[in-house]
Amino acid sequence: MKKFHDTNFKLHLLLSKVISMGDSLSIRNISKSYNHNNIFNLISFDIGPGQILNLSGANGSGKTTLMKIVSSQILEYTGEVFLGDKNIKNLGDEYFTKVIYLPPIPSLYENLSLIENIHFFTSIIGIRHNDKAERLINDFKLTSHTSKKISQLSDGSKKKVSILVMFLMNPDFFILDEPYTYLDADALRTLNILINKSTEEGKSFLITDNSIGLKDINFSGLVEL
Amino acid sequence: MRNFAKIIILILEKDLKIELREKLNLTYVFILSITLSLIGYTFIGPNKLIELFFFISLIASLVANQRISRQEISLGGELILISVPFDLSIICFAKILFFIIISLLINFTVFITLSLVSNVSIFDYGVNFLTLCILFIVGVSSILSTFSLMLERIKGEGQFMFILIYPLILPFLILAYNSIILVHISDSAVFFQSFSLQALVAFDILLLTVCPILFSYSIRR
Repeated sequence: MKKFHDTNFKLHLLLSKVISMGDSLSIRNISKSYNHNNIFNLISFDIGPGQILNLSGANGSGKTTLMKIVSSQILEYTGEVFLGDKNIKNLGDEYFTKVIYLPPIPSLYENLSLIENIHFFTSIIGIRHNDKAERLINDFKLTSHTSKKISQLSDGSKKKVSILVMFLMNPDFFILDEPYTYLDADALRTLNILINKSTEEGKSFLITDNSIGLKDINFSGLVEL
Repeated sequence: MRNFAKIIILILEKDLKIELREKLNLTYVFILSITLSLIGYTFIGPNKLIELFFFISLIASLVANQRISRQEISLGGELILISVPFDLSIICFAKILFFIIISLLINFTVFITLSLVSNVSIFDYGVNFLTLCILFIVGVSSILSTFSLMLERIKGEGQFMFILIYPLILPFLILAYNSIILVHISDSAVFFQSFSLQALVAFDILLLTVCPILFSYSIRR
């Protein structure tokens, strides 16, 4: 059960969800080059509600760059990305309530504890998910680490926290860059269960990973770079 | 507005928690301020104590800010809060406020050290001195916090965006220097009516407004 700190923010989030229900993420003719070197050219694909796309390609083919473009972290590119019929460049900060990017290296505050990180990230966007957070902590077997600082955790546990925070934020589109790296078999299974359950709720995923974890995912399509 | 204040408080709380728990940066700032004060006093002596005070504070702030701003950068080299669904200027503003607190600590340390080694009170014109200290801290914190956050985050041409606020930085520094000379005026009313101090207030307000907007624009333009 979601509880929001602030009524205005709750209304804003609810409205944005209603408006975006059923929206697709459309990538149209995206090209990117660094120092006159073309990384990829005229990439186009769609991610519909409830779909899981596998983004594959050799090392250096630009998978991470493309994911950062789709999640609006890289803004200099040619082509367009649309959410529904709106260009994401015109959506502003609202876009980040709908799309989240999970980087390969966890992006957390190393000197805060696991629970403090969760509390900070959820509080800052105005949501409170005590029950869901507790459940996810149990699912990922992090219960004994809650008061430990992130810097004291293993790479695998850091990755779990990063994934956990991402699911608490509950966006419509998840852009996952090597989500299985560092994860053990149990965590890998938990993540796949979460992904499959989320697609039933209409959430969409763009995943790139070379891990064995991908074998349990029913992909809706493949994008090759 | 309520959300804006709440986010700022959350970031300030987080920063204070990290710094007070780690103490590494605070210890570093403390040692750096004392060391620079001693070096500065050895080279320049007691004749230009107030100028020395502000110069050391500026250098210590510059180094400390670079170090403290790194807390906002992940191991992957990205700004941790890059994907938050609100304007990034709020984050920059919160970092400026936090650095004002750190600058107060730097100024206090430098003041105590210089007072002890020189045996000369630089507090004879207390109100003037305190006012200038606060105005100086606000301006310097705005510039340095934005500068270090942008340097950490933006590679390539983005760094040159900072040149955009050079027309604000240079007059700020010149006005601060002119005000330092005026601190010795015993009549506070004259000091407060001086053009350089009043213009310094205006530049503080401008920097506090422009720096966060520039930071947000440079990342999500």
